[in-house]
This record gives sequence, structure tokens and C-alpha cells, in this order.
Amino acid sequence: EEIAGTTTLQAEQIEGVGKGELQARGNVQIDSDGRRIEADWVKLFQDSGELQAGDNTRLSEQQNVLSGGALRLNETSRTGELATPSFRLGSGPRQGRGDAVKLLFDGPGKYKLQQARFTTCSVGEDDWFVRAGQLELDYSRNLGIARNGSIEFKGVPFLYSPYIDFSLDGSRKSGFLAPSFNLTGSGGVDVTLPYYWNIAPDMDATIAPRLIAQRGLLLNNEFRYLGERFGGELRAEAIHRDRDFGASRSAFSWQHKQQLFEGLSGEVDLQKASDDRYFVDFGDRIAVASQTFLPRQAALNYTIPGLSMSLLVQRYQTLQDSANPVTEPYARLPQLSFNYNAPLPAPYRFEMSGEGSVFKHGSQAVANSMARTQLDGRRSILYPSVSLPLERSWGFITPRIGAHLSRYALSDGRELKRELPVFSLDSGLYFDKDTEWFGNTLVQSLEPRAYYVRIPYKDQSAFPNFDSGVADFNFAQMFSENQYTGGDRVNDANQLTLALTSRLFTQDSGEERARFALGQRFYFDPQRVTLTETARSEDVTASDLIASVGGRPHDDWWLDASWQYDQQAHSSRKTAFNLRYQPLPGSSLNLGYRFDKRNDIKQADISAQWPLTRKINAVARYNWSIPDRRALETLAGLEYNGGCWVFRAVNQRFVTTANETSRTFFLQLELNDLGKIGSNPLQTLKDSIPGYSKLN
Amino acid sequence: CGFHLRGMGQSTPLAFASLHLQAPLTGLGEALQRQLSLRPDLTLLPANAAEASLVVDSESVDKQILTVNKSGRVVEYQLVYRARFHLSQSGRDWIAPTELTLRRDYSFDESNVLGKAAEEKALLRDMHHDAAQQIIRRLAALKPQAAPATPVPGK
Repeated sequence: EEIAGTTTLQAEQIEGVGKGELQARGNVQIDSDGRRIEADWVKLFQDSGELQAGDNTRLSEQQNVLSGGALRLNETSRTGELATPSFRLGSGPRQGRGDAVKLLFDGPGKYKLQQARFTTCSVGEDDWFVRAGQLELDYSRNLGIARNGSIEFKGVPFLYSPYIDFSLDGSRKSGFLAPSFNLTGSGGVDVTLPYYWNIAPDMDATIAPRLIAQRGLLLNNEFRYLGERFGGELRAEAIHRDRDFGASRSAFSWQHKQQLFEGLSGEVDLQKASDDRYFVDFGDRIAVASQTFLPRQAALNYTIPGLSMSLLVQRYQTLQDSANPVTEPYARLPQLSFNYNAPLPAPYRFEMSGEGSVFKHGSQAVANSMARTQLDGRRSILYPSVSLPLERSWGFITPRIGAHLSRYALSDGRELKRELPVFSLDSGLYFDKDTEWFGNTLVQSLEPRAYYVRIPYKDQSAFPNFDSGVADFNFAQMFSENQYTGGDRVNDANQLTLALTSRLFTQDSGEERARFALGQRFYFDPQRVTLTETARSEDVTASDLIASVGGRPHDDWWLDASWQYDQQAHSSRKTAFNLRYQPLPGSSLNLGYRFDKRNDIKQADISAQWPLTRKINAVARYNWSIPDRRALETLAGLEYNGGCWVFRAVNQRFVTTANETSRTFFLQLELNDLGKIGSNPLQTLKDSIPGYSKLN
Repeated sequence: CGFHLRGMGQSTPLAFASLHLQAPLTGLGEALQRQLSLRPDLTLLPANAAEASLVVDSESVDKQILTVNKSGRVVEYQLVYRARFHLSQSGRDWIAPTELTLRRDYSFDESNVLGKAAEEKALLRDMHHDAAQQIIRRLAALKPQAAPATPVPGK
């Protein structure tokens, strides 16, 4: 029978119809607004909107199900209580379940439970629980709070706390993150217990005390903030007295970006370490341990259509390895640079770039015997050019003429100047044809390109070297005017680059699936401008030949290979080969080979994340230096996916200096949705295994 | 051998004659602006006047260690550039949000940090240019009749 419009009541026996109080008995079922209450008996008080039910009750609403004994519920205020409840709450894959002695309804979406257990494991998998004297589940804020609680894994309680809070939907939430346990070669047992503090929606902090047996307690703090017009991250870590090192040590970094007003933005990057060995000793990842240059810089950038300007102040802290000292880079105090392009009567285009810099040599380098000539100076460069770009669907041609103008004022009193005209002609054609590839209709292109550059010779041997170097020879470099980076050398050129690129792209979407490229530069004059390298000999009329092939020829395969061939010596100068097979997320296999004659590199690299069984994944990397007969990085581990938890055990060893390696053993237990993840060993796995993906 | 000059023989004009570009003024935005403005078959217009809108949603650059030597020193880095874009026409997606990933390797030289920083910038410019070309190739592949399909929820 129907009462009050939207409510349906079914029962074997109903008494008191039309009165203020209604009683129903025998398989009672009440449906209203998508909510169903089932019980042996129900009393309804229509004036107060209250309901009482027993002896066995069940309340279901969307995906939420509560069942238990005696139920009292006020419909309007959503308050009441349920005895001996077991519950399933929340929606989607993050549904939580559990039981308690008593449940209090505390408004829409809010529950308070006494003597409760809570887990996100599915029914039948009682692997872990949060146990609590009082548990609050607030689905209006997606927040869970366990008071007087502990975490129980496989029946073993291990983390007692008067207060544990956790997120009910996997969003950011204050609380302890998964602790990580390391065993390192240099520090011994190493335990990190990160605490995540969600200060505000736009501000958070991670405080991670790290106890290193042979050194002491390292306090590690990270603070992030975000505003409408700014954002930043502050990190500070310190160990009061490193027992092994014999002194207090610390590291600090601050990155900040700020939008000042339309077009004008600023950024700051300050980094500092107390000593040269800081990251070697405390960095548990290669990316951290290998840091050598810590920037301290601030920049102001101004951008409007056609003009971008930047003012930079920069200095580096150089972390020296006594077995491998390096030259400290020049500080730029400051550097002002700009790029400007103006519309000229079509189709001409005017561009001008320039910079003015004050270079100061570093303070450390003075004491360093291998330092370069310690000369300070000011340099200004102005480079205006006019081009005539002509572009059609089938090709392009761009002649360009410019003047490269430089002035130096050096600390030894010398003034130098350089004025060089630069002419270049870039041109290319595009040919297409339809083709088939693994049953797909593709377009194959053939794109020949020719690039000629002419710059006269100017003796620059008396010029200082503040920021120049010889750039790597690659496809980007082939089509640039100057083989030197930085502003201290402009090469003499009378040269032609020829390249041929062929791409495969899908006909319907234009998506590039693969590309093949081949290129070489031809010299019509011998080289005269040099930096530190010896000039190429006069009989050399062609550069190395470079070839590359890459893409995703098939959905599961990625290939990336390149080859640089020295035609004079008839030998390879550089080879790189990378192949990845990734049929599914969580299953990836990588094969790599790298050869670099100049840097004495010849390495094989194999890495994988591969399922051994339905629940167990192997993770591994082996990076082997062939001539040194030495492993540069070895990593091996297992991941066990228990459904609502993941356990990881990973052993890693990598080279840190000429005769040291760092060894780390990670153990990590992650209970799904109970906390965010500590950075380790996940970051290590991501760095070491291309294509690594998290199991849960 | 079956190759023909692009755009000759079979006519392949763009599916639209005017386009609005919504992108940062630097980086990919600048490369797109430059390359699109050189096309004689296309006019860049403000949002309300153009037939379609090309939006660069996000860009990111990640610098990863590629090779270390026997002394644990970094010998090569890899720059990973990601850009997300979509093309919309009167509030509907014509090209759904798509991510492009480009990679460039470069060798590191500890005695030339500033020069390498400049080289990194040059490689980034090269990737911006490359990404712009890949996006424009996708625009060119659109067929007029394949126009607006699914409405975007919430718009």
C-alpha cells in the first residue's frame, strides 16, 4: 500500500493504516526515493518521521548496504542508530566495507561506528583492516578517521595510533604514507616514515623522518603551495650530526613561479647542499645522487605577441668529486636576452635576437688548478635578420640574411668585437603516396631537404669562452647555422646539408606512426674557427652520416634507433638502439644498446616489468658496461598484488663515483586507498624501467 | 614509384578556411602561430569569428638521465616533451584531446654546463617545431564531412 506519495510499504501484516503510527510485520519492505529498508518488523511514526525496525534489518541505497539488528532512523534528519552493523559503503572500485558493534547515523553520508573494522579489500579477502575504538566515515567530505586505532595486516596489528585519518576516495588526505624500509651499503638500515599533511586544498607538506642506522636521524621536509598566480615547492633536509661524516649536514631547495601581471612572470630556483658528498651519501636514486651542479637562479620573463624577453641572474654550486674534478661554470650576473619578430610587408619577416651578459667566474674554481683562464667580462650580441619564407603544401623555400654582431669588454682591459654576415637558404619538398602497413591504410611521405649556410671567417682565437661548446651532431644541429652553442664562437661556413626523411602516418587522422631519416653535411671550405677541438683536416669534405628510425610500427612495439657513421675512419661514432614491447600496462620489456666512441660508452641495457603469475610481477634492470665488464645498475625485485594491497621488495645497486656503488634494498607494503604512496621504490622503478606502471 | 607532390593532383584543402589558435605565446604556441600563418589556405582569426579552435591544453618537459658512465657521471640526458591539444568546433570536439610525446637525446658535458643548457633550449625549439608539424598534419587529415561528431559533456 502507498503512504505519502513516494513511499511503498509491503508486508505480510499491516496495522494502523491512516493513523499517526503504523506497524508492519513479516518480510517488511519499504521503498522510498531509491532507498529500501527490509526487516522482520517495522514501526513508523508519521508525525516525527521516525522509523524503528528489527530484529534483522537491511538498509540499501545506491551501492551502500547496511545490515544488522535493531534499527532506529529519523528520516528527516538522517540520524539514528543500527546495532551490530556490517556495511558496504562508497561507490566504484573504492568501496569500503567492515563491521562494528554499533553504528550511528550522523546526517546525510556521515556515519560513526563503535568498535569497528574497515577495509577496501573485497568480500572474502580479509587481508587488512583498520581497527578503531571509534571510526568516523564522512562521505560528504570523503574522509575517514579512526580513533584509538591500529592497522592489522594478515591478522597482525602493526601500527597503533590514537588518530589515523585516511581518504575515502583516494584523494589527497593528511596521514602517514606507506613507510619504506631500505638497507643501504653506506648507511645500514634506513627507515623512512613519511607523514602527509594536507594543509589546505592548495597547500600540502610531507614530513619524512628518516632514520639511518650508521648516521642518525635525517629530517626531510617538502612543502608545496599553489595559488591562482603562483606555485612553488620548498624542500629542506638536515641531519643534526652525521655520526659517519662527523658533522651536521643539510640540503635545501626552493622553486617558485609567479605570474606578476599579464605577460610578465618570474621564477626562482635556489638549491644548496652543505657539502660535496651530500647527495652521494643520501640520494637513494641515481637522479639525486648524480647531481653535480646546483643552480641558484632567478629570472623575469616578459612575453607579448612578437617579443619575448628574459632577465636572468644565475650562479651554480658545483659539487666536486675529488677523483673527478670539474670546472665550475661561469655565473651570469645578470643576463638579459630577447627575441623579437616584426611583421614586414608580406611575405618578408624580420627577426632580431640579442643578449647582454655579465660573466663572473666561480669562486671555487680559483682554488682549482685545472680551472680555465679566469677572465670575467661583459658580452653583448645582436642578431637581426630578414627572411622570405615561401611555403606551399608541396614544399618550402626560405632565404635568409642576417648580421651577427658581438662586443666584449673583458676584465683584463681588452675590448673585442665581431661582425659577421650570415646567409642561409633552406628548402624542402614533400611527396606522398598511399601504402599499406599491418593492414592499415597509411600515407608514406618522402621529404628531401637542403640547407645551405654561408658565414665568412673571423679569427676568434683571442675570444674568451664563457658559455660555448661544440653541439652534438644530430638532425636539429644539422639545420642550424652554428655548430657552437652559447655565444662565444660563430663558425665559418660554406656548407650544404642534405637530408631525406620519410614518415608513415595514418590516412584518416594524420597520426605519425614511424619515421626514417638520413642526413649528411658537405663542406666546401676547410674549418678555421675552433673552440677546444682540433679543426677538421682539409681533406674532410663531408660530416658524419646520421640515420635514425623510430616510431610505433605496431600497437605493442616501440622502436627508436640512431646511428652516426664516421666516413673517414669507416667506423661508427655513435649508436643507440631501444626497443620496447608492451602488450599491456604492467607488462613491458625493454632492450637497449648504446655506443659512444668519444665518451667511451658501450652499454647493454635490459629492463622489464613482467607478470610471473596472476599476482606476482617481476621487476628488473641490468645496465652493463661492456668494456669495463661492470654493471652500472642492477635492479631486481618482486611485486605481489594481493588485490587490496601490494607488497614490493626491490634490490638496487648503482655506481655513484669512480670506485663506489650505492646499494639499496626497499621493502614496501601499500594498503590500497589507505594512504598515498611514498616516493620509494616507485620513483626508482619509474626511472629504471621505461613503461613501468603501478599494479593497483 | 607512386609518390606525388603533396597537394598536387588530388586537391587536399583544409576542412576549414579560418582557425583560432589558443596557445601560450612561446614554445609550441609560437611554432604553431608561425607555421599556420604561412599557409595561404588558412586565416587565423579571433575565437568568435573562426570556423574552428585549435587549443594547446598543456605542455611539459621532463629531463631524464639516459646514460651514466663507469664513474656514475651522467653522460647523456633525454628530454621528454609532452603536449596536449584538441580541436573544437562550436563547443564540440573535432579532434579529441590528444597527447604528443617527443624525445631528444643529448650528451652532457660537465665542463660546459652553460653551453649544454643552450643546446637543451635548441632541442626544445626543435621539438616545438616538430610537434607543430605533427599537429598541422592532423589538421590537414580532417575531412569536411567528418565534421562535429560527439558533443562534449558539460559544454
